[in-house]
Amino acid sequence: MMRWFYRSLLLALVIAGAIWLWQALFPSPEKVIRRRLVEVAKLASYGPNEAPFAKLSNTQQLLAHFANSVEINIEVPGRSLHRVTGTEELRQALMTVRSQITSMAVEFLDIGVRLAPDATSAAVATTVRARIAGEKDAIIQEMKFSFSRGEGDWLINRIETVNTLR
Amino acid sequence: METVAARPWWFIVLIGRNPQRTLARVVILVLGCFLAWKYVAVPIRVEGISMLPTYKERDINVINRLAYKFRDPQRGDVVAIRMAGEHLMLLKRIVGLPGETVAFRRGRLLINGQVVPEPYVKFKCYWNIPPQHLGPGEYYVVGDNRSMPEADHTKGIADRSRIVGKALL
Repeated sequence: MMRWFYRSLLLALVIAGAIWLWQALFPSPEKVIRRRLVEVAKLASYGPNEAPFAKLSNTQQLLAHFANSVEINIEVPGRSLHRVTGTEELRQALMTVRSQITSMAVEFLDIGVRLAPDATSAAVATTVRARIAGEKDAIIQEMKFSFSRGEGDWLINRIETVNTLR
Repeated sequence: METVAARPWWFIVLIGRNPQRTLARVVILVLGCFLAWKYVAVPIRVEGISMLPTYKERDINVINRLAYKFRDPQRGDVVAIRMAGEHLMLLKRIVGLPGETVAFRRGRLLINGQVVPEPYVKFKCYWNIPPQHLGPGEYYVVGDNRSMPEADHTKGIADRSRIVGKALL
């Protein structure tokens, strides 16, 4: 009886291990997109002592997550409106932010991924929390990201703000 | 005759006389707390100053998710409004109900053109906001701290589907 129990336990462990390995080697698009957003948040965050080379390198790595034709529309009520089109404009905007703001910590919370039926694009709803050096309150904004699958990779092709209240 | 070794006093204090029963109690308690916090009363921590003086920064509160299961939100209720999810929510007061027209003139709330007293607003306010008509399932929400410039205060029309529940405390 005990022998059967141990065999069943071992079998269950092997199956669980195989599923885990399969998911690690061949992650679902949803998992890839979530991981991508975590990387974007990490690269968009920086400390007060970021070296000039690190600044350039991190910006370059961050840009690698965006499609060439990326469109960004950020409209926060009570704050200025920002529109960026293309990676070159985005590079300039990111460098400006990094040179003007001492430090920033970005987080994406409540990430909800909705994959298109053909699995070549996805819409992501999230709440962004950005803590900026010198500001008491964090900036909290609901946002929508559009991802598209280009050359086997998921890239951000659109970012827009969502008004929680109209 | 069978003898059972006496358990040390600290074991009885920490675990009890019957470990299986204690374990079952712990499991039921943890499961009960998890279900209650997820589906009935969501604990929250207040961040920001928009609900001053009613709620101060870092105040702890609880959102009753069942508050609007059988009735609609009422004017004066402090509610949690979800954003993309429920990790971060807006805590605001309902001042306008579906079908009403909401406006602010010299800081005073006007509902359908009539001044509505707001005893919870303690700071001076000079907001002027043109009339906005609320459609079905739309509520006008605003914080109690109107001392800041109108443009810096998050307020506006919230859909009923975004209202998670009512603040209990």
